[in-house]
Amino acid sequence: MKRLLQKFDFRSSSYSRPNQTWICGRQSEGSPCRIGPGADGSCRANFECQPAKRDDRWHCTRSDLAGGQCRHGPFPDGICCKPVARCRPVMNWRARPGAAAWRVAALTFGLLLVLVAGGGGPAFINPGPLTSQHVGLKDCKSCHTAFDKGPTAWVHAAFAEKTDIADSKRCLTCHDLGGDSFRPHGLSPSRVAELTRDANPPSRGSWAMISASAAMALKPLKGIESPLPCLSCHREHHGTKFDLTAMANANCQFCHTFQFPSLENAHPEFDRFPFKRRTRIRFDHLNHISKHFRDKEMRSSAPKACKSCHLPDEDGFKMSLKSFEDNCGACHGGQVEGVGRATAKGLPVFNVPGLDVATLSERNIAIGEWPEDADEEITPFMEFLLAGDGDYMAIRKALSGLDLLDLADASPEQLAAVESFAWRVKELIFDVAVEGMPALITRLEKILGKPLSTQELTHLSGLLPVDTMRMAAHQWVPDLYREVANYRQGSGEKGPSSAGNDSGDKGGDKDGGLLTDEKGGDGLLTDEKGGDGLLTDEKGGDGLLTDEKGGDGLLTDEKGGDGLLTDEKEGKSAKSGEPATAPEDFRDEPENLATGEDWSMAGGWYRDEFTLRYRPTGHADRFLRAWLDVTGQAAPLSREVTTRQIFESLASDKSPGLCTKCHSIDTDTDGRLSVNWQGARLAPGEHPFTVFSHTSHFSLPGDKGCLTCHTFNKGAKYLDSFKDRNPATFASNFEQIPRQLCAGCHTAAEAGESCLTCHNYHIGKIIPALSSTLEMMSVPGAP
Amino acid sequence: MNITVRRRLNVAITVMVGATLVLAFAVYDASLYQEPFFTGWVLLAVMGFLALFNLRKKITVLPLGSASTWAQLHIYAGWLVILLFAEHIGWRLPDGGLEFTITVLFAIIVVSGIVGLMLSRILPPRLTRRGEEVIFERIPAFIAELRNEAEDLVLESAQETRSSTISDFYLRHLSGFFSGPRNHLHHLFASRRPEFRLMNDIDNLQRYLNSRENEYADRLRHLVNKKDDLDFYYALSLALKAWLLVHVPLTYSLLILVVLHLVVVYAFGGGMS
Amino acid sequence: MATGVAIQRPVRWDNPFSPDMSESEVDKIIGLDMFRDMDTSKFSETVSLRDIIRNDTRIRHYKKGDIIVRTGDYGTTAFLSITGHVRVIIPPSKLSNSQLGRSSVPKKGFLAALGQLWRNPKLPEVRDPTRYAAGRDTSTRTGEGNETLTFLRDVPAILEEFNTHRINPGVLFGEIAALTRAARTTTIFAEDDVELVEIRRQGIRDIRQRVDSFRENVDRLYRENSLKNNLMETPLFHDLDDGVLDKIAAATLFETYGDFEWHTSYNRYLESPHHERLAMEPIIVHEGDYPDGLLILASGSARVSYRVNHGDKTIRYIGTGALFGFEEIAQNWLEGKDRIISMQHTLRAVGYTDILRVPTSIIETHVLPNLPKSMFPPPAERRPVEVSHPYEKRRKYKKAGAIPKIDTETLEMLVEHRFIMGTSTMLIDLDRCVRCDACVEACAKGHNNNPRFIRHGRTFEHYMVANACMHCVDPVCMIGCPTGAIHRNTEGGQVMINDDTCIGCATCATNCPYDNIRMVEVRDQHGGFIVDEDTKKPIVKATKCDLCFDQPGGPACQRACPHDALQRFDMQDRPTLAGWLNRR
Repeated sequence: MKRLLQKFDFRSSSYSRPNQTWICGRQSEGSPCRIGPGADGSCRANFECQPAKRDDRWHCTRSDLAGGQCRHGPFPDGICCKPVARCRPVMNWRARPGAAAWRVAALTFGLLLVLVAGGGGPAFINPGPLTSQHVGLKDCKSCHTAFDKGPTAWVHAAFAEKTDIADSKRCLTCHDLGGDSFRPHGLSPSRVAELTRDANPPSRGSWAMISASAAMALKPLKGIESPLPCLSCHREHHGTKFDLTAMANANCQFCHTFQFPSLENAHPEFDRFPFKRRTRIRFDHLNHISKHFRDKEMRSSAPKACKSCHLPDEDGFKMSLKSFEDNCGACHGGQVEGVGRATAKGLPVFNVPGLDVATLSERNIAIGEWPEDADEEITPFMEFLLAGDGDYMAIRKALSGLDLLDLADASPEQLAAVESFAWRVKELIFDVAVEGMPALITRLEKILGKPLSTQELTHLSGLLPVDTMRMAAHQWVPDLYREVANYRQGSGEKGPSSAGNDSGDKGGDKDGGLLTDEKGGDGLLTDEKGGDGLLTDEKGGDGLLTDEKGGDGLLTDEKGGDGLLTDEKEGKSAKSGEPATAPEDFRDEPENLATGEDWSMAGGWYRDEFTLRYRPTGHADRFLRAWLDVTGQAAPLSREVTTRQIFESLASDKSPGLCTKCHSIDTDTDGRLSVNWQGARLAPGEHPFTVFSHTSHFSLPGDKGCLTCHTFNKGAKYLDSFKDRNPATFASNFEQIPRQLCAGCHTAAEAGESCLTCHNYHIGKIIPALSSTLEMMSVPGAP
Repeated sequence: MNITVRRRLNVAITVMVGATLVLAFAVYDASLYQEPFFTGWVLLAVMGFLALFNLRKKITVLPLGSASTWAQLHIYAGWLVILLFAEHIGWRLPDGGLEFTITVLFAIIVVSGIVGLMLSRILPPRLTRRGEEVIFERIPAFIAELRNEAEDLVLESAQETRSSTISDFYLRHLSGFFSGPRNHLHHLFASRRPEFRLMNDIDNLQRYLNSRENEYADRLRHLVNKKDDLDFYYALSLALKAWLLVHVPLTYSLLILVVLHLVVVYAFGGGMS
Repeated sequence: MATGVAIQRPVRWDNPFSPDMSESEVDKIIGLDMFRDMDTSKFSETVSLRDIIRNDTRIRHYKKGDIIVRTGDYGTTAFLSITGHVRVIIPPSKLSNSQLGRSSVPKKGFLAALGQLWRNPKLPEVRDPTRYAAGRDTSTRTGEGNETLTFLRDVPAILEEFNTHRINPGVLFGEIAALTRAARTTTIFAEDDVELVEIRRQGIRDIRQRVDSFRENVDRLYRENSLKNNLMETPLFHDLDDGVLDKIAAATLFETYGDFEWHTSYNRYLESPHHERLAMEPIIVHEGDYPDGLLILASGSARVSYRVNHGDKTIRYIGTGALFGFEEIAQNWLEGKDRIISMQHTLRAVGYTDILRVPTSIIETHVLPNLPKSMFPPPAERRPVEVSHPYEKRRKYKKAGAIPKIDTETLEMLVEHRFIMGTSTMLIDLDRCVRCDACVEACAKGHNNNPRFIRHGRTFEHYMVANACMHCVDPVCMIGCPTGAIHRNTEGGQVMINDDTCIGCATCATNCPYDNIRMVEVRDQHGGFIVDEDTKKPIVKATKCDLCFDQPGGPACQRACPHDALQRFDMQDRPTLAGWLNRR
């Protein structure tokens, strides 16, 4: 029979009490005291019994369970003879984990407090190092708004307020995304809504899509309207190498109502990619390649490959154009300068328009001297400059449909109009000749309705030399100064004098000139009479009256008068050696005396009879460009006619310089016109939605080279598509890039098909914010 | 219910729940919400439930489902929580001091839990197969009993046989052995070397004993066996209790740190509303 | 029995019912007319009537209103009034618990249950001394042999209120409960001051065996009162009309086997070898006997075995209400006279057993003819001629599924140690138990911080039968409780101890053969021992498992086990037990 240590009967085995926290320390010796430890783990042992006194004898009262009465019994003094040795109670194993738990909890608290007290707190709660580009941000509060306010505020921030937007605002101090920073793609909800409207083909199944559409269920919580904080996508504190901008396709699909598995599978077809917009430079690749480049004398200078004209821009995305000189100059440089041009190579800027002087003198219209041989129309420039004068447009109206070179049957009113027209012209020439640039500035500014910088003036004026102008004025109307002065003083002028003939003669009869001047005074009287004679004519009266007013007008600017007078004096003083007349003094002109046109073959001003012309200075001429920009951009106002006239005249194929032969013109929404001076290129900081890096694909194509992707579209009516000025209308020389071409390599397995490979999330102009140096003004040593 | 069937069932359920959760997390991540908050709350809930098991054990008097049901839930939720935690930290060791500490604590708790589970399944059968079934708290007393017997025996032998061979042997080889529980690790790893060595010693001793002394030696041998059984029982029971000494207390400090973590992430990682 | 080994049995009368029976008192009792006209020659000189009177009876005095027999108690004695009248309260009307001096503890509510988590005292066995003081209230008094008697204060009112019946002097009462060891069915109290003879069971049994008139009288009473109910309970007789039932009742024989006080001797023989212990179990039916009757276990339990080589192999144990021998009888009736089979198994009384024997003829004539086919048993398990290896048998059973798959070793063990008596035996699967003591702690939580069982006990295979009260079908612990402090709960039938009325005599603890009752020294709130006023000895109380009868969730121990290693079983429900034992 196996020997058992454990007895079961109730005398030798009393309850074991694992539920008590403390065990008698003498349990281990097998003789635990009967009373056992107190609840606090104190030893309660004293004696085995409390002797009782009956009929003055002490009796042992030990329990039967403890063995009943002991042999010796109590001492005479009534003390039990069996004291129980005290012990240190031990903790029950069952109670130990619990007891330990509280200690450990307390310890944890303690350590945390020590940590906080020691200032190790922030370091401890920092969830991890920032990405390398953010390591500069040493201070938590530079991103976390709640950090500074202390722990209590943390708790509040944690469970009472929403800090994500506030925190994200701090990102913007360095990453300025423009207006709607916290909107999807930085687009306004309305824009997003309309884009959503446009792109709604049915979704196609896939895991990404399922997840996304499942996630749609959560949208009500965070819809398009509610802002997206930066940390929705950019999760920091994941180590220095962590990719902050990584984004799963599913993330994109979460918002995008059109969901699809991958690029090769159901990605929307490319829409005329990349030729959505007409090329800025009008260049018909097909024409050139098929015709011109093959042409015998051209062949030598013709490009051999795409790369001889195109080269990638510095970030390798776009293929931008080389300079005009590199690409086109060889053949077209001359064209721009006007080589082999039939008509005048210079652009008419100032001129004396041709008038029917004979008729005018018959009718006795007082326009003063007028060159009879002038037969040009007034130049758009002059009209532009004149447009500023109050009644000029009225005059134009009156003259409309009238052939100024044959006024035989012109009505009196028209003749009156012609008269004032003539005077406007003279005044303009006079002002420019006399005042020079100031005169131009005032008029230009008046018309464009905005102040002009000197540079603008430089370009717009084409640096018209003073002599050229004065000389021209003198040639055309020798007596211009006096005439205009008198006219302005209100003294009349007799009809176009035959002096027109002896406009050539000069010298001696200056006195006569003066005399006539005298007469002029008389004339004025006669005129007075004539005026009487014409009393019946109501209008004439009116005219007078108006004149009167005019007179007042003149009187009012007495000073102006003075000004004129002083001018006059100068004029006289200068008369002795007048440079303008000097060349004429050469008696014998050499045969090979060059015309002004040939003389300034490199461009610049020259006089051609009654016209002052500007010859473009080769490609990218400042003057033309300036005028095209100014007139194109000028707000379409009442004077539109005139501004547009200039623009159109310059934009016409015949106009010297032929700018717009290649530089296409765009009409923008509010009707302004802009000439594309540059080929396509990314503006600095511009983030388009779709990007393609040419450089990273150079290695791929074989012999076909660029044509691997850019295949010709023979049928395309390239040039025709430039008839209008809407950049959208376009028929490219090249087929659009087929999606499958990209999808061939861009699969999850190979080149990758993350949305972010070709698309930017943040779109628009994003310029990294510059740090503001407030310290600058407080440089030490500064006064 | 048949235990094997129950195990299979529970494993299946756990796997399914785990898969569903992982799926849900992926979906949540696809939306531009911060997945960690979602996983975090689920994780916290499960951890809370696991912690409740301790509480449940304390209030057995209430009909709140049997403790074994809770234990099952605790075990399988325990396996699940490992997955949840991994998902929460994105399967990478966190860099932050607080988070790292939490992870380490969690790891220790999980490991101790698994060890505890293994012990609970492996040791009881071993306990059953050897020695007498006794109450852990009483083992020291029983050892004392055996020690006294042994000492009496040795004294008796010394008197009876007038030779101190056995008593010397006792003093040299056995007094230490009998003075308390011994050789915990050997027993825990089922090594019987200590017992074998003692037996060996006694064998060697018996060469030099006469028949009467041999009787004593045999009785002594019996006591040694009995004592070794007690040691075995003590070591294994101790292991069965000791693992809780890690598992339970660390849970408390973990929970404290988790609360801190909660405040931090909400104060600086978005916040509630 | 062929190889029966003579072993020393306990001697009759070695513990007389009352040590101080004077001869005069014996004379006085013999003088009573019930005994006077008994034929003493029927008694052997070893066991004479006088001996019986001297050793098995005692004289009791009750005051007016004292309760003599309480319904629900397990009395083992019968009474006979010498002078004075007693009143029996006729069911269904019954006295309230408080009137019976029973503390009725209501089930705890959820909050109350929760409350005890912190309201429990921190120290073990703390009691509220004032409650004991209250226990000695006016409705109880200390009677002879200082047991606590409950008495009814206002007898006339009781007579008014309840339907009672007077029992005159000279009439024996309470003997049925005593013989059948069933719970008392009624309450009987003293109408006026009475002098009673109390006869304990053994006495009644001996007299019954010898005095025909007495036996007929007793048996008649039994037949009239409870026999038919017992028969009705067995499914065989469910749908028989009263006439037939009466016939059967009339023909039924009563037999008792085993030592009524087996528990006193049992532990002594525990360690003796198998066959010796087997020899202690009296044989009711021998295998090979002619099946002369259908046996019904009226009470107690029995071991079913068959012979294997030189030993007996237990295949089953049966408890109260079980039938034995029906397979054989039915088969014989079906197959006809030419192919009679004998009893296939041996039936042994485990401890003490009452048997009802219904003669085969009765069964064949009255029961079998109109018994639905479904009720016929499978053909009797024919014992294999030569079983070389006991496991073959088991495998066969496994295939047939005829008996639950508790393997023989386990069966033997459970029967030998009488664990089969339990209705809530606590089994612990030691392969799953991590020895965490959660069960014990849970138990303590439900009992004012005191465990009510010990997580140790006899082990077999990898199971332990822990020392927790099994709430036996017939609880021997109740025998001889002087105050009835140990009783069955009227609702759940759990065996429990009323701490207020327990006097700490340790009778129950000594009686319990399984060491499942423990004596404790109670303490006051400060943890000091509560001592007796005059002797100054610590007050001792018996404590045991009460199956958490007042806890909302039932037994806390098995709900508290995290590894479902611990279960409590009604050992009569063998399929469940078998299922659990083979759950892996």
